[in-house]
Amino acid sequence: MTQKQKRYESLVQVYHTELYRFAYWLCQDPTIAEDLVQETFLRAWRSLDALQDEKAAKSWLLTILRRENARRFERKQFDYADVENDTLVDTKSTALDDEMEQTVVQRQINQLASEYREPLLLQVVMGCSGDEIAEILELNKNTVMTRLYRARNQLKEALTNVNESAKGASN
Amino acid sequence: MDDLEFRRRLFADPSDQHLADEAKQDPAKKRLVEEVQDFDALLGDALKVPVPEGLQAKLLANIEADEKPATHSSDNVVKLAWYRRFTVPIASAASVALAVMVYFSTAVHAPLYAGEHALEHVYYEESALKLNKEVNLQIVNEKLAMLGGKLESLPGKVTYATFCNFKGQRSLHLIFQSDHGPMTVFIVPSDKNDYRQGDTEFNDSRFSGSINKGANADTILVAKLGTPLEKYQGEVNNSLQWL
Repeated sequence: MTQKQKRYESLVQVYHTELYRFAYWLCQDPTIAEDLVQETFLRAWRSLDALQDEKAAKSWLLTILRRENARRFERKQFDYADVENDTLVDTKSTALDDEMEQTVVQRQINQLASEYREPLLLQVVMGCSGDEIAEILELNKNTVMTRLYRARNQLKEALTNVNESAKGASN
Repeated sequence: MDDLEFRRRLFADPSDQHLADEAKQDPAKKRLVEEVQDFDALLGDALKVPVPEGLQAKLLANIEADEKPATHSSDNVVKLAWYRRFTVPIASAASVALAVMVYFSTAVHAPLYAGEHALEHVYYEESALKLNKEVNLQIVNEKLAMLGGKLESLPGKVTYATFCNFKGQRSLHLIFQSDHGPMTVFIVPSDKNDYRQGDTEFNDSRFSGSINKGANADTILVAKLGTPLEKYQGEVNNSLQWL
C-alpha cells in the first residue's frame, strides 16, 4: 500500500462517521448524504497532496463536503424544494418517553434555520472549535458564537414548549 | 462576568473550560453549566443517526476504481467511454458536416448521381482514410443498430465509423483496411430513394466505386482504382443483417 493510500485510509477511518452524520443533517436525506460523503472522499483522494497538515484535515474535508452540497443546489434546485420541515414530522403523540424525546429533538433541529443549524452541527457532530467553524463557514468568530447561542436558545425554548404542551395534553 | 454574558457564552460553547472554572465558585452557575451540558448530551445523541452499513468499505473501494486508469495509463484508451474514442473523427466529421452543408447549398440545382456524390464525400473526408486506430466492431454495430442493421464482420480492420448525410439520407460512413488499402463503405438506408440515380459502377482517376442496391439499404464501396470491389460487395453484404 502506498503512503498516499495509508493517509487516505486513516482519514476515512477517523472522519467518515461524523462526516456522514453532518451530511445527513445538512441535506436531511440518507441517500444524498451517502453520495455527498462518497464524492467528498473521492475529491479528497484526488487532491490529497494538497493537504499538507493532517490537523487541517477535518476543516478541509468539511469544506469539500459543503461545496459538494452547494453544487447539488446549483444542479437540481427544483428537486429539493422546501420539504425539509415535512420530512421528519413525527405523527405519533408527543408523550415524552426517552425514545420519543430524541425524535422531538431531531424535529426541532430540523426546524432551525440553516444559519443556526449548520454551526451547531459543526460543533456538536464534528467537534469543531469556534475558530474552526468561523473558518469553514467564512464568518467571523463573534458571529459564529452568537449563532451557536441562538441555536441552543431556540432549541431549548422549543423543547420546553413541547414539554409543556405534552404535559398539558396529559392533564 | 455577569449572568447574561455567562449564559451567552455557555450556550455558545457548553464545554468552555473558563466557564466551568468560573462556575466552581457559584452554585447557580454550576447548575446552569450542568443543565446545558446535559442538554448538549441529549442533542449529541439525537444527532447520532446510524451510518449506512458498508460505507467505509465503499469509500476505500472507490479509490481503487479511481486509481486504476491512472496507474495503467496504457489501458486508458480501452477504458474510455466509447464516444470519447472518436474525438478526432467527430471533430473532423463536424467540419465535414459543415463542408457538406455548404456543398449541398451550392449544388442543390445540379442533382448528383450517387457515384459522384460518393466520390465527393470520400474526398471531403480524405483525411479519415489515413486513420489507423481500430474501431471495435461493437461500436460500429451500436451505430448501425440505429439504422436497423448489424454487421457480423468486415473484411478488414475498421478505422472510421460515423453517421453522415448521404444526399439527405442519414447513413453510416465506415472505413476499413482492406488488402487493397482503405475502403470506404456507405450504408445508406433505402427508404428514401432520391439519390438512386446513375450507374452502379463509377470511378474517377483515383478511386473506383460500386453500389449494391439492397432491400433495406444500399451499400456503396469506394476504394482505389483496381480494387476488386465485387468481391468486397459480396463479403460486406453477406455479413450485413437487417432486423
